[in-house]
Amino acid sequence: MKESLKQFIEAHLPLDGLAAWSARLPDRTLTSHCLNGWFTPKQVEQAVTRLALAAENLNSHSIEPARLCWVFEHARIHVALRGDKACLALFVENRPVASNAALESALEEFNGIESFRSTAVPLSGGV
Amino acid sequence: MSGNINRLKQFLFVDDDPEFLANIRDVFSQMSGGAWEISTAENHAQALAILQQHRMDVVVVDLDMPVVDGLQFLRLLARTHPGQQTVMWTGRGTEMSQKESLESGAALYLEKLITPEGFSAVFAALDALAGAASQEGFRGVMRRVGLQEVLQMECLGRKSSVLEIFTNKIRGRIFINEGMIVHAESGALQGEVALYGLLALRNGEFNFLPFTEPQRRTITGQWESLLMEAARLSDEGASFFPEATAETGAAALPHSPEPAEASVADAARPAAGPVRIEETLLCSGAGEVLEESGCKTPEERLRLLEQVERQAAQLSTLVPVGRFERLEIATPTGRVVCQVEPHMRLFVRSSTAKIGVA
Repeated sequence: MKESLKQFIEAHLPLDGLAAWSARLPDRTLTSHCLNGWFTPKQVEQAVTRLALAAENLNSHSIEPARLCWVFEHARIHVALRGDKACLALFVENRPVASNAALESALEEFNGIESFRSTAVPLSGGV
Repeated sequence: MSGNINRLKQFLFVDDDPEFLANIRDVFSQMSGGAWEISTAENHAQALAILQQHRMDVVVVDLDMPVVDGLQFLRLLARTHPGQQTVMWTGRGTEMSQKESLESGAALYLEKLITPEGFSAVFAALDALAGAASQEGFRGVMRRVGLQEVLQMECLGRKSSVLEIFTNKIRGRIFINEGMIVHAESGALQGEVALYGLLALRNGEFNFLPFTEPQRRTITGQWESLLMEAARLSDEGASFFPEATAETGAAALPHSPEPAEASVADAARPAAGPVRIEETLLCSGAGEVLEESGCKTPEERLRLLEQVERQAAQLSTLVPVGRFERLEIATPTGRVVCQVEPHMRLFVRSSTAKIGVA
């Protein structure tokens, strides 16, 4: 795990209601962690790959996503997207999250990690 | 009018024939055995003055009146007194006037029968209508209290009820079972989209009715999350009812939304700023466009919704997260919501003046 990501994880995770998280780095490597038995790391990594593809697909619809939230019956999957194609996915239990500010902060801070910016590629299109 | 307003059934008869009014006052007072309190007005101005002072269970309006006829008066009442039970009656009924009366909000369309049997039949119908109006529950006006607050109180109290909401154009019901919002419906809309549409209404009236099981439960989310989403959509001026943009405030867009009471609990939103709804597309589950505004290429938005549905289905097979509800997308310039349900699909794109996400 890259040092900057490790520092970010230690500073921001876990969160209240967080079941799993996964970070996809610009080189497409994945780092995942499941905090309870709800999901397996393999499930999470497969899902994150799909989530990244789905986010890229939005550009073809002239939508430039910065953050996504897939709302399901039992969970919400928050995805923070960076210009360098790194992304962070947080799998959160679908109930009122006590520390919403912490969730928001984590997603925003992920985009602010400096070392990921060296290979930044601007997303095309826009709303 | 006496102080028995809580006990007696309150009726207002509006007719330009004073002799007829005097007659029905005598007849119905006798038939009710003192259970009715009857007010009369010879024109719409008198009727409005009475309604400003007293709440009526039922207002009975003669169709054929000079200056402002019965139909016009019904429509006026629908605007000035939404939710007021009204009955049209006439001595010259036609199929067309019946249709127009019922469409204008009349609960009943009755013929003026001046025989004892005729009076008896009309009395029974009016008495039942007033009884239903007074027994079904409390009535409130949303101008002073937000519908969200009413719903929140009901959920916090773990109550079971049906919240009936009506304006002069929209009727809807929200089903609450043991503090959980389980269903909402309004016209062709059902589920969350109906809930959000009803909660976005700015003015209207509501009744609490005893809980009855809906034909189908369409809402499963936590009520806190649902109300937060409703607050957000309401802030953004999202309109779900094509005929009610003025009632939801969407017609006033762009506007500066008031700060949401509940902060976002899920997807990112851009920093608060003037919000403008740029695109709306509502279609049936079969893909038929029901409402559209601002979409340059509706077909492309339909394709996006189909893609989102497919992607969500794939995600559901990978991780056990349950049924898909919606995708919320924060962009540098605004926000997009794609909601997919079996019976409808909704695409809403809004923009904000201030960029709030990187």
